[in-house]
Parts: sequence; C-alpha cells; structure tokens
Amino acid sequence: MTVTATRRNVLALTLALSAGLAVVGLGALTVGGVHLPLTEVWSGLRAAGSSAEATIIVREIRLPRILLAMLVGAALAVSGTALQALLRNPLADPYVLGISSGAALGAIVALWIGGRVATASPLVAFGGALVTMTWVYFLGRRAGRLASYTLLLAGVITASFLSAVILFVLTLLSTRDVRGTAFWLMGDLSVVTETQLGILIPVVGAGIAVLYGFAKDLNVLLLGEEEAAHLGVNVARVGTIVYLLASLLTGVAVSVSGAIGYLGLLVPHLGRMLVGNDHRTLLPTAALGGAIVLVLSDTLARTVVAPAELPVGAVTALAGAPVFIYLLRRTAG
Amino acid sequence: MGSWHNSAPRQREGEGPLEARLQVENVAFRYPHFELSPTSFEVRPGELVAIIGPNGSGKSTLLEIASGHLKPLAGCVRLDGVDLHRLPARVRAQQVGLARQETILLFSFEVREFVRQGRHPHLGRSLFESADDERWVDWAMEKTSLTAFAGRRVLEISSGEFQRAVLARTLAQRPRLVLLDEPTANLDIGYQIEMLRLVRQLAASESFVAVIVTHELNLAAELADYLLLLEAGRCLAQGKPEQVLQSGLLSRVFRTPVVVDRNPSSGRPRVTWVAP
Amino acid sequence: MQPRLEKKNTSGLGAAKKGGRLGKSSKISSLIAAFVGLGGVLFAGRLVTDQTGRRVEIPEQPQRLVSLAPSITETLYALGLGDRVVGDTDYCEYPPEARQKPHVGPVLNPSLEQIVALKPDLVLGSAEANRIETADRLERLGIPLYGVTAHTVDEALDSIEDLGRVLGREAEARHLVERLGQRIAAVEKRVAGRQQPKVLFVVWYRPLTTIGARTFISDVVRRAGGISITGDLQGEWPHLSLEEALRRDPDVILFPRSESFAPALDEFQRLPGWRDFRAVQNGHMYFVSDNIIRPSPRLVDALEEVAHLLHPPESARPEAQQ
Repeated sequence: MTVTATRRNVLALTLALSAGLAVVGLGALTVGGVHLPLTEVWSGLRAAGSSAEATIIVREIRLPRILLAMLVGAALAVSGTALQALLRNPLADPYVLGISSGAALGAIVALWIGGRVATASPLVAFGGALVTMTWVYFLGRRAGRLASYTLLLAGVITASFLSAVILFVLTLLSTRDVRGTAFWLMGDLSVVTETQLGILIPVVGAGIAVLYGFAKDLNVLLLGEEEAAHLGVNVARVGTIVYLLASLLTGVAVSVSGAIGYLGLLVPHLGRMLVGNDHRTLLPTAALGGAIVLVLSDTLARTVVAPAELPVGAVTALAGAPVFIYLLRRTAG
Repeated sequence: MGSWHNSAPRQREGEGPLEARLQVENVAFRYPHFELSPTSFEVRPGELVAIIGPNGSGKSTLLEIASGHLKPLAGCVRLDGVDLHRLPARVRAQQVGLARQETILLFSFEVREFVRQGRHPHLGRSLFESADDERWVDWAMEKTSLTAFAGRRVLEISSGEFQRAVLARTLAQRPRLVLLDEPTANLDIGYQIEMLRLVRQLAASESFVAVIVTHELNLAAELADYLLLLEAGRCLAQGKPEQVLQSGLLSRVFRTPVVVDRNPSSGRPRVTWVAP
Repeated sequence: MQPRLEKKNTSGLGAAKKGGRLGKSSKISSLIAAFVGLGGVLFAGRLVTDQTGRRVEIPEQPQRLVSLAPSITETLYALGLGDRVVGDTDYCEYPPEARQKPHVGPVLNPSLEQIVALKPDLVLGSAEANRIETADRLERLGIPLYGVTAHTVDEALDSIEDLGRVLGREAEARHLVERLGQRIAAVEKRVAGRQQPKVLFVVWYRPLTTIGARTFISDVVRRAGGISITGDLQGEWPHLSLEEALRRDPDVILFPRSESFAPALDEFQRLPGWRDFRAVQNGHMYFVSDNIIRPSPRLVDALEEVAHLLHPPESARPEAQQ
C-alpha cells in the first residue's frame, strides 16, 4: 500500500500514529506485576497520592521505562530506515556498521578497568560508538568521499572485528562477569536516570527532525548514487550527514539500553508495507511505529512470564518475525 | 497520445531563452586505459543528435561530459551559453536530464512516484511537490503513455515499460538538454520508433535539445538530425546521416561488411549488414 | 549455556571403597588378604561412582592431581594435598600458592593438551563449573575425571568429605568438615528464633538477575537466618522485574563482589526504581565476598559474613517488616 506523500497525508498519518502511541503508552502504564486501573495511573502520574505504592510504580518504574522504550524504538527504527536508504540495501540495520559493537566494547572495557558501572558506562559506551563511527567513515571512503558500497564493507568488517575483540576480552574476564553481557546481547530497558532521559529526548527528537529534512533526498538516493547525482543531489554531503545522524541515533540508543535487535530492521519494512517507500511518509511511520513496537514488546517482556522477565531483545526477535512473515505474505499476494 | 496544449502548465518566469542550444567544444578525457580525443559538436534548437560507434569507442563518456557531470580534461560544454561544469549540481539538474542504464532497484516505488522524482531539482526548500510539479508529472506520464500504469509498482512492470518510466522521469525534469544512453535497449521495435519520435517531437515543441547514444544505426538514420561516429575515442565523422553513414567507413569501423542504400519510404539512409 | 556434568544424587558415595581390606585374622584370611592385596597392587585402579553418577576408574593413591575448578583447588589445599596438585585453572587464586601451579586454561575450556602434558593420574572437576564434554574427552584419552557437585551447604561439606575419601585423606577431611560444621552450627544457634529478614540476592542488576530455590546461595542465606524472596522463581538464575522486586519489599539486598562489578552502592540511590527500595533507602544494601558462590571451605566464611549482615551482633539490625 502507498500513502502519497502530501502535506495533508503526512500530517494525518503522524497524528494517527501519535494517538496510537499515546494509547499504547497509557495501556503499558496500567500493566505489570500489579495491575493498575487507569484512574490510579492518572493519579500516580500526577503524584496526587491515592496510594504511595501506585505513585512509585508508575513514576519510578514504568514511566521511565516506557519513555525509554519510545525513544529507543523511534531512534533505532529511524536509523535503520536511513541506513537502508544510504546503503541502498533492504537488509541494513542500525548495527550493520559496527556502532553497537563499538559501544559494547567501550562499556566492557570500562567494566574491565573497573569503572563505576551504573552511571558512567553509558558515556563510555557512547564514546565507543563515536570512535567506531569515525573509524568506519574514514575506512569506507573512496576517492576521499563517502561511497555506499565501501561504507557497507567497512562497517561489516569492523563489526565482525569488534565482536571478535569483545569475545576475546570476555574470555580474559573471570567467568562470572560474562553475565553482564546479556545486556549487550539482548538489551535492557529497566534502568534509566532522569538525566539520561533529559539528554535522550532532545537528541533523538532533533536527530529525527533533521533527518526528516533530508527525506526527499533519501528518496532520490534509493534510485542509485549516479541517478541521484544526476537529479542534483550532493550525494557525498547528504550521505555524510545521514550517516552521522543515523550513527548518532544508534549510539545514544545503544548506550542506554544495550543492543535490542531486529527492531531497526523490521520496523522500516513494516513501514514500507504500510505506507510505501517515500521517506516523507516512511520516516514518521518508522519513528512512531518503532516506539509503539518497542513499548508493546517491552510490555510483553514484563508480563508474559511474570514475576520474571524476558529480555526485551528476545521478544522483538520472537514476535517480530511472525508478524513480518504474515505481512510479507499478505502484500506478496 | 493526447494533445499537450491542454495539459501543459505555463512556462515559469525567467526560464531562459526559448530555444536551447548545446555547444560541446574540444572536450577531451583520459581514463587509465582509454583516451577521448578532443571532440566538438553542436546541437541546434529542436535537434536530436545521435552518437554511434562500436563498443568502447567512448560514446557514453562523451555523453557524460556533455551532461556536465564528468569534467573534461580540456574544453568546455555550454548550454545556452552557460558552462555546464560551473553550475552547482542542483541548478544543472533543473536544465539537464540524463537517463542511462539504471542501477538495480531493490525498493519498490509506484510508477507515478518514480516519475515524480524528476521534480526533485525544482523542489528547492520545499519538502513537497506543488500543484505545478504534479501537473508536469502527469504531463510526462501522458507523453510516454504511462498514465494507465500510474499505480503499478516499478518492479513489476516490463523492462520496456520501465525504460519509458525513466524517460518520463527525465521529461518531468523539464530539462533543456535531454541525454539518453541506449534508451531503446529493451524496447520492441514499435516502441523504439515511438520513443525516439516522441523525443524528437518534444525537442521541437518543448524547445529542448536531445543527444542520444545508440547502437541502432537505422533508428538513428531515420530519426536523428545529426550523427557523430566515434571509434576508439576519436570522432571519425559527423554530419547529416547521409554524410556519416557511408558503407566503406562503416564497414571499417564495425569490422564487418555493410551496404548503405536508401530507405524507399523515408528517403533516409538504410544500413544493411552483409551476410558473410 | 553449555551442558554441565549431570547433577545426580550423591548416593553413589557409598560405592567408593578401598579394595581388599578385610578384618579377620585367620591364616586363610591372611592368605586371601595377601592374594587380594596382590591383586590390588596388580589391579592399578578401582571403579567408583562419582557425585554426578558417572562411573570412573581411579588409581589407589592418586599422586598427580589436576583441578578444574577454584573451589576444588581450595579444598585440595585445605586437605593438605597441595603438593600433589600438578595443575589448576587460570582462576585458581586461593590459596596464593595455587597461582604458582602450572595453569591449564580457563574453567569452561581448559586446554586438553596441557592437561595431558602434565600426566595427571586423576583430574577433579565440578558439575557446576565444568562441561561434560571435557570429562568425556579426557575419558577418551584415558585420563579419569572425578566430578563433584553441590547444591546446598551440606552437599558442599559432603563433597569435601568425599574428596577426602577418594584421595586417601579421610581423616583430614572429616576433621575439616567437623570444624566447618561447628562454625555453621554456631551461626545457626545465634540466629535461631530471630526474625528472618527478607533477602534479595542480586547476581546482576541489568537485567535484574537473581537466584532460584535450588542454589546454595539461597541455602547459605537460609542458614544465615534470612529468607530469599526469589525462592519461588523457576531456574537457577531467574530474571526478576524491578517492579516485582519492589513489591516483594526485601529488607536486605546483597551483591556478590567481584573485581569488575564494583559500583558504589550509593549510585543505586540515584536510579529510579532502585532508589525506592526500602533496603536502599535505609542503607541495607551490601556487598558480600564471592566466596558465596563457591562450594569450598571458605563458603562458611561467606555464611558467617551474611549472618553478620543479616543479624548484626549489636542492636542496629535491619528491621524486618511485617
């Protein structure tokens, strides 16, 4: 299905999906180990203490987590969309260029040196992501400019290399510390500080907004680098900016929540099936869709085996694939 | 094909002289294993020029230089008196449309969306197409008989239809210079003639100039106003079809005996390959 | 997770016998004794069933031992067998002399080559730490591996005794186990009758991973006079949602200390969710040494440490909520 990219359609689409996100978010606030009716959630949000317990559960545990899920879901989905356009490859995802491996390695190295784990490691992880992003960029240039083919190769090689290094470092650590890596393999949304949210909201918001400004360029990029150049797109400049923004979005998401997989690959394609390949409609769909999908996945992760929890990355993988297959068969017919 | 008088929007203000003219002066280029010697030609308003020659003779290179995209080592290319290589890419894309063998598309657009991309150079700061932009898209699709295909997916149509879509996209740019590299490669003969006729007709009516690269010698003979024959990076002959299409010359260049006579219905030269 | 050696009942302990010792003193008996004794000498090994239920052929008096787990290394030294240890793992750090021994690699993937090169006559492994593949491959190379396993404190002590029996140090083992038993009894006596604080044992905090019922950490906590709030969860290392953990309202939160996991506990007072734990607000969040995860003699140190935290000798003890 294609939703033609007109101003009116984009606005309507954004509003509809935002409403959906609000509903899903509110629903997620009511769900958990203790089921809270909507009225309790509402008073809990306002801290108009009908019960201190409800307030704590809603404001301290669920709200930060749901907000984080929205931000990370949006960031990863948009990053995946942008990278798929930049690399002209429908199999690209936010991690294909090595960003998450770099972030993981940064955090693991910090762990190894004995840094303070709880609050500082997102910074170190983000540092690792930045270093990787710069490295891959310079490695992937051809004739001094960004070229999607070499960029993809550079990213894939770097990602593999970093994964190998991570394994190496992990075998050097004592066996018990290997447990901490579940965070990097599967992701975790349970811990986020106000400061981190305070940074994520503007960064993710601005990143997506700026990328949206390049939506029509991304459309043309999909035709091919030469074709885009012949239509007046400065491929090197647009490519560099898109690369930076996508990496930034991935980097901040991964630093705070670990590597949640499949989202950045599946949500863009779900979006394409729903609205088409025009990025003016696809980007908002991916952003809001990613937020909705991750909030839903996280809610499932919290409730399916309660009181225990599934890793959210496992849920995105397990639930994402069947949904995707179903949609694939429907559109293929 | 419908009358374009009713569907074509008004020409925009300040779009340049009504009649486009291309001047290619002494352009030369060098690749590691290939050299294009200084070549010049001119395309007069409303004309269609065809560049012919065997594989590897430098046709595509010359075309790309003429588009302003590939900077020559010497010489210059002027469209309406303006050096194309000095223009920023976006401004150039508003005036020059180049369609060649397309990169393989892995993402599916609808045909109309695909053609609409041609308006990109004209969008400026706006993210969305204006009503005028949409009308040019409709016009381009109508000219290439693709209106019925508007909602079809680009990956699902035949390669011939796809080539028409590429031409439509180029036309949607409303360029003053149209360059086509092997535009008829996948078309059956009826469409080949129709497409080149269309390009020639539009060149006259829409005031642009067209340069095509083609293997189809007879098509070029029928529909081009002017020919350039290249061999190994050198222009061996240029001029009207009768002047360029000489049997001795062609036999030598293409390394196979040919006979050139006259097509009785059109009066244009006709090239026939002699059986060995 | 890689498959571990099968965990079975330790009832196979009784099968470990020394060959050929009889109690009669008649002449015929002596002849038979001599004959069997001769047979015992000729028959280089004896067939026993180890704690995981595997049948292993081990020599009478193993002289060259390789240990594949730090807890076993510790036990061997405690039994006075340190000089018989010819190799241990990279992580065997206690006692300090163990570091000087030739290393055969990490616990999960020891180097078979290096083990073989050391020419051991008996290798000792732990069902919780080592993999069954290691045991199988050593068996195919003709090197016997005796496996121990423990899920409770008592089983840990049994393992020590069992090792003593197998290695000809029965007396030392019994003595050691008695002493340890006394210390445990002293702790239990001290905490008997007191209100048991609810304990949340956090193996890792992101995601929140804790302990199930059948681990000896939970047994240690129980015997130290506390009650684990995660005893109802399935598995050994279940994930618990923060919300649920908060709802269960632990009195005390314990973390195992390791070289790399050393955040300041006050960091948790700044994290949403964590800072709402009563235990965090009251400062009842503690590190315990990682002896708690090893079934070695120092496990009792951990037990005493936990008891000290849960039931401090003075009056400032964690308030157990009704």
